[in-house]
Amino acid sequence: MKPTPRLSRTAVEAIRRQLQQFGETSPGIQIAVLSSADGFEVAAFHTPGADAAAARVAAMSSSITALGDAITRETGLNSSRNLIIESDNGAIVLLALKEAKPALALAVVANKQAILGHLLWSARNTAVAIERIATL
Amino acid sequence: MFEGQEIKIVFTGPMGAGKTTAIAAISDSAPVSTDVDNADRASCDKDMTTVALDFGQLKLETGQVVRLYGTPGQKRFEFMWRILGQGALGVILLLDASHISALAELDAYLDAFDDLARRRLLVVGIGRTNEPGATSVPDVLQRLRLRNLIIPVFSVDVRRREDVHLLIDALLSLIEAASDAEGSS
Repeated sequence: MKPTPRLSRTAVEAIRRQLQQFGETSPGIQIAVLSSADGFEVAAFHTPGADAAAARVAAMSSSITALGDAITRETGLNSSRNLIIESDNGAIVLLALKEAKPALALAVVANKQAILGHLLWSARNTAVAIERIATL
Repeated sequence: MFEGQEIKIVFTGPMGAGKTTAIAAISDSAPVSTDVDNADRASCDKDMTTVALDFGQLKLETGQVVRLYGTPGQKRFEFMWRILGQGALGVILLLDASHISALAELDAYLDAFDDLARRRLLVVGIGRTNEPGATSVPDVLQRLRLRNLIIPVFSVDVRRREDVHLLIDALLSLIEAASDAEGSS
């Protein structure tokens, strides 16, 4: 049985700092959670009072990311890169970090202050930076 | 039976009980799966785990198609249990008898699917009963009696298509009996 790779404490701390920087510089971000493919929170940034939501978002983001993968696989589009959920009050962006070992998913919850294009761009940059840390 | 009605049934139960295996064993075509690497080896020592759902279909001799949905096992995916439970006509609850907390797990899933369990639209399939110290079928029946539930319990190996068929047939009989009772009342 193959061992599951684990992130070191230093890597998790570096990721947490990366999420915090992203959360504080990109407008409208309320929660940014990095989770394992099977839905455990690895590191998170959240606005005050949103800590309980972060853990739930971690589990839900792994389900939705896996469903995104299932539908792209079933329709011959290979694996999914990201998912965008728009609502009246904001948007959620889910990105798969396929290069990371173990595989990770980044979920970003933003309010209406965020502009979707900018959110996606900055979230993707953050994902790339995290991938770099997680593949070291 | 079930004319013009979609039959949706849900496979649930703890991590490692065999939900994905059962659906793969019985589905007419390759099931849709959402398996990912399992990082939680302490809870269950297996490579992959389901995080959203499994989906398969089974065509009955009557021509009716049964849609088979499997839930993730872990409590943190409880929201998926509720989503998948919507519109389900019945539930197949799978347990691993060799697991030390099999009876507590039984209780947790009966709580989650309480409505269907009380309406007798649930069957229990218990695997690995022949392992030393494993929970037995009578143990499970006794636990069900404590909750005033009279529900069929089968010892199964979900890798075997016949065993999964047995569970589905038993559940379909219960669904039919319930819909007959509703129709006559």
